[in-house]
Amino acid sequence: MATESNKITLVSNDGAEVVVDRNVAERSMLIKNMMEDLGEAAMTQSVPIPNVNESVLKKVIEWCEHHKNDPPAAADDDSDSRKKTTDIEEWDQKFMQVDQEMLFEIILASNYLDIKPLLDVGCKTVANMIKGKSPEEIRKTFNITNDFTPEEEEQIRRENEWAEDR
Amino acid sequence: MMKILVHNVPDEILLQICSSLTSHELYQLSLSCRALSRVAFEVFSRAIKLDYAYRDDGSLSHLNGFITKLERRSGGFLSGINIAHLSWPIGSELRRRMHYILSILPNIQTLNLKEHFGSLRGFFIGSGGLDENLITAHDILKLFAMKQLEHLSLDGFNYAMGIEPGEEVPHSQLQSLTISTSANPTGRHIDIILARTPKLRKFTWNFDLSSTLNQEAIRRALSPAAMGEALSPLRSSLEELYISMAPSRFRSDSTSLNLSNFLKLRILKVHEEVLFPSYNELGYVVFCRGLEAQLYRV
Repeated sequence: MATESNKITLVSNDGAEVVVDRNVAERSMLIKNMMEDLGEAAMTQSVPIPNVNESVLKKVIEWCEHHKNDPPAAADDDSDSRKKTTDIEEWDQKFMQVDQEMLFEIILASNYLDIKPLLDVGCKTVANMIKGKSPEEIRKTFNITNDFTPEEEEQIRRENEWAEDR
Repeated sequence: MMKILVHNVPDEILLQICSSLTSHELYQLSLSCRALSRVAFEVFSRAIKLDYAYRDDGSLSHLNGFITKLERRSGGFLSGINIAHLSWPIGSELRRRMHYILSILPNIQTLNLKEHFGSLRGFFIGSGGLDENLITAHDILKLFAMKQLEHLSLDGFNYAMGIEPGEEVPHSQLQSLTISTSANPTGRHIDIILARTPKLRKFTWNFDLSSTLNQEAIRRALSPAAMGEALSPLRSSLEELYISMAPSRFRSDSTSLNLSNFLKLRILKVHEEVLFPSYNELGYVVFCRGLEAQLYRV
């Protein structure tokens, strides 16, 4: 339950209550839409976030707090140019210096909560972990099992040899 | 337990991650496991575009390497290709290879071919006519046989010469088209093409080659009424129309370019000026008299 007029209470899937400024929480389009639907009742009721646990929710809120004054995303924010670059702001880089489990939880939470800029930073962080690595290094980084048969792997190499050039 | 990338992240997010990777990085990723291979190839199929500038007709080594790469990947992933020819003339060998390139690109949706116009014009004037080295209308027509094409730009080519009415021009999926022409806009060539583009929403028509015509031909080719007549097959689909020509070559014949029955037209740009972006909403009729477009409220 909210304790002040401009604060709302989010409840994680493990029952923890996180009190947060409304404008911070509304970086999430999911929460923003819920608040608009609930109207004044949203200020006196807890808002359940069933897909996110406490530690991830607090981490996401930390990001929202830091970026609460960011301008809204441009209409063409899904343009190729945005996706092609993997530049990440310094603060966001440090924010994303977490273990892989937390990184993917943040990505999944930002997707669920509809926080596109955070999802974008998360995806770029993972992309940067892939860049410059061999297939074996990628497997090691992400704990992936090679499920190709030697024949399948050879076929991919043969058919896509064009991309071997950097 | 450590969560694993491929088993816990939805495909849509994997695709977003992969969209930041180069083709080489995607290739490396595709070799890591089956699931990521599938995602990497999905990104290829959605995103790959290729720019190729051909500069030296005397040496085809670069082009040969380019073709080899395309052959190895089976051409299945390319969705768009830009080929710029920066030298002249186009030799028969290059022409043959260009067609081969296009034949191994079954999924290509966007094709931009740009010819160095100055060379083309010089060749025209210098030779006094078409030469076997000049890329011909028949060559260009083969491009239209790529039924999956949605965007086609033939910038600088004198595409229309030699098209016969009986020839197949299947391009019913085209949404945008850029052409250059020195031919009479009411001729059978443009009619054939425009009459078979029911989905064409954006049309760019360059008359930059007008310097190759004599004054009478220019007057006939650049007649606003003739342009309007040529464009008439597009009146139910066209949303954007761009017309450019060498200003000094434009000669008004006192006719008008009347686009009042182009119900979806939003943008008309003549001589690099967007005249009325909200054309349809405002209910204007456009008349183009000489170099100056005038606006009349209905």
